[in-house]
Amino acid sequence: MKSGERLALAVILGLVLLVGGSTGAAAYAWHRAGTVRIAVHDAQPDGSDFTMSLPGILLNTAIAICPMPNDPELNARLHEAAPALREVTSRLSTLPDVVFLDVKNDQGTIRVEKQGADLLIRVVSPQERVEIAVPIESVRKLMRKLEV
Amino acid sequence: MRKLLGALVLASVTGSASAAASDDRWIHLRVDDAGGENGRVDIQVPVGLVSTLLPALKGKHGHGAIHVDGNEVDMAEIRGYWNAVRSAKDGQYVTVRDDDSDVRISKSGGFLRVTVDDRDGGSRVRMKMPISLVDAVLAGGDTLDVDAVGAALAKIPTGEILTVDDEDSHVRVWIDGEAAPAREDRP
Repeated sequence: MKSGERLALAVILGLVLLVGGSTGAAAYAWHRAGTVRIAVHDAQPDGSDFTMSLPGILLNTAIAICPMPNDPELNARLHEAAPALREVTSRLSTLPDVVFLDVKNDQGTIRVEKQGADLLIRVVSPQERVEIAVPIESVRKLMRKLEV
Repeated sequence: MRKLLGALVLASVTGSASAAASDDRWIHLRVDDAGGENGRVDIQVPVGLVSTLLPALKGKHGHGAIHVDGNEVDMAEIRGYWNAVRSAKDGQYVTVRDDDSDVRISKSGGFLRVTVDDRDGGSRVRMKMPISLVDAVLAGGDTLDVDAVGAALAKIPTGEILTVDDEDSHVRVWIDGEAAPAREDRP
């Protein structure tokens, strides 16, 4: 093999490794960030269903780049509460799947639970059913942002 | 009824505080409607998880007095009563019998026990609180000493803390070693 061919092969292999590694890292980050899911089911006869699933990595990016609100009072409150909330979200990730809050009455049901890597909020009433699933990792990133 | 509400307020203060130990046990609150309406509230949180939130309460909710049935109760007065009970031997210290209810407050085996029974059979309160925890809750002058409460909770044994049964609802607060499964699979 000539030296030029060896150089070309090395460049190609390097590119393959670079693209493959980047793709693998992106896929891992995508998978790790989870999915934000919002589902609304209107139980009325002419009701509609709405479901939205967003890759968590988009939410994480939005959290990273969005500016903090310019309200000194609000910022002070957030700054005060953020360390405790961040600690709570950190601990959440180590807990088993569990229902934290379950409220039921004539008007419906509210449930907050940890399911896998997600924090799941369900609100069910005779008129509609709302489910919101947020990756705990995204909540943690939000708390870190608020703390800063 | 005022005594019942007083007992409930004390229980709620100490009950919220009982979530402050730094361990993996769980504190559970369960409220069931007794009126056949099938309403219920289930809350369960790791004790250690809530203990991380307690510092955030510092300086916010630690001041002031407790309001019982629309009347303000002086915390210094409560501390005075408590100090008297705490330094005495085990036994039954308060027995109040009136037209509405029987109230008994006793101390035994390291626990403060409060029993309230309505005369008409409507309400029934059973509260069993570790003395170290009551000490911590009442030790902070005009403020709630969150750190002391957290330290006291690290030693609180598992078991029932509060049960209240009346014509409207059943309330139960307890600590145990694991989370309870949901009472319904899916809402």
